[in-house]
Amino acid sequence: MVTLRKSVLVSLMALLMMAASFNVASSTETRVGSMGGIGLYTHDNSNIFFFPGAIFTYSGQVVGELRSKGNDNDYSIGIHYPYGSYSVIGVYLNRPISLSIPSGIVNTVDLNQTTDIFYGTQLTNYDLGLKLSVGLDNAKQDVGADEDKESAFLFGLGGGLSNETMDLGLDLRFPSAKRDSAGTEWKWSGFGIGFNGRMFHGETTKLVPLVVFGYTSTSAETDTVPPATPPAKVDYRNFNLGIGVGINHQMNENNLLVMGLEVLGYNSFKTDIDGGDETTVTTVTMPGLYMGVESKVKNWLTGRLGAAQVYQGTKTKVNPQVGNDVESSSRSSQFNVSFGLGFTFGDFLIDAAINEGLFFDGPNFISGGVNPMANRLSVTYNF
Amino acid sequence: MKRIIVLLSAAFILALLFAGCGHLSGNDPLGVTGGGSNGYGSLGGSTGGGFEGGYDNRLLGGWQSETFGGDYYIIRFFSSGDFELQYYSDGVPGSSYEGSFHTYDGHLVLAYGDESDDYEYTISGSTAYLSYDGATIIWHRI
Repeated sequence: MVTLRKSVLVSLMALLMMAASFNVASSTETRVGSMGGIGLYTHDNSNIFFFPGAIFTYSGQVVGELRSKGNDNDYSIGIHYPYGSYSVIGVYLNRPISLSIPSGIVNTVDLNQTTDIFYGTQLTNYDLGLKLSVGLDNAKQDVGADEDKESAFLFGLGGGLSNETMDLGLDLRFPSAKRDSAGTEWKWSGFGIGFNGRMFHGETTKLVPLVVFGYTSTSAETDTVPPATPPAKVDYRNFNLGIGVGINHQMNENNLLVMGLEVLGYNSFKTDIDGGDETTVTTVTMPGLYMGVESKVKNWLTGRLGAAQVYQGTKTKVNPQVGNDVESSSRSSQFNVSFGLGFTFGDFLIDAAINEGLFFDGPNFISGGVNPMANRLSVTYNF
Repeated sequence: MKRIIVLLSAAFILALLFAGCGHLSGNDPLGVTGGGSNGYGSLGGSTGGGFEGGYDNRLLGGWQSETFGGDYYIIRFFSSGDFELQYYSDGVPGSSYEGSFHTYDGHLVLAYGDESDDYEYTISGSTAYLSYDGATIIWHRI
């Protein structure tokens, strides 16, 4: 009887340990991407860019994100290194950001990647996280007797508080770019602020209300010799708001279901040319639907399936310097299904977003197709 | 709590039906809070996203080319970074293309399959000018 109880206890402990390691280890951009893009509606190590306080939960990991085949610019690597008992230091290299410098400012430099440094520590009720992001690029070219100098710089600061039931994140960003050639200076700069918040309310079935907000204001100017009157100037304003509610249901230790309903997604981008047109493009998502399931098939194999559908309206308003306003609008619905697999090899976990064409067409020796097996990969090493 | 979840599930299903009524296009649904292949939404001004989405936002929406010999194109740019190009001959839809787009320093790149085209572009009010190999096509916002 004692032996039976002991074996039951050992089995239970092993099961719990397995479930715990499953929850912590199975987490990457590829994981939440292949579950329909539900990253904000569930816990995942890629959450740290939105909620820096979450990094303490994912201490002791090396994460490699291989976002598109053969494109090194889309690859990044990060380490979450535990420092003492209550702190973690994180470093991410080459993390892609989706930022385009307006046309006409620079020719050769860009701001496509950042280096991010995290610090996380455990407080009494919360985990605190801080983030510093830096992106830098510059170029210099001799053109006759003159120099053509270009530079681009991004500086960002972020912070957040996280625990099992709540995540908060706040960040500030300061992008800039400049070109100096033959006495003419082209420059672009501004600031951005973002806020993200979510809650997990409940036990095994959790209700997840969330809100995300972002505002960016930048200006581009050209200073010529002699100075133009008026000086060429363009203002850019970007406002984003997302309100959603989700269900995060841990059905049992091996199966997770996540559903997210974006009640309102609002994105407005305004371009105001000094002495010229003012163009405002507004995209409203209402609703956006995201869902994904994750199931541990074997100790070493996890299957994932996801879907997303958005119903969006886009409205454009052009206010020309001369003449009447022009408005146009369109509506569309977009849908996608995603499929992924996770493989565990010792302390390594490989997540793959599978190209479904492989199942339709068969492997190369049958179909002759050259499509890759996976669209993107993530590799996590737990130490 | 259980009632809230049941109601939310019902709302989710209703919303799914509602969303299914729209014109279905593209294959990269991207909202603000989710749907992206990186696991997240556009979050334009937020931490993990960017400032402009990697393209000139003034392009978003639909554009119709000037008619040449009864033929014309309609192109739509979506916030997900996808585009849809439809050819019309005397008002009858012909071939169509889908893919992704991005802009850099006055250039518009349309990528479909393994190929991509790089156009120089300018926008003036509700008119866009796309130049390729010395030829310029004029587009009007629709």
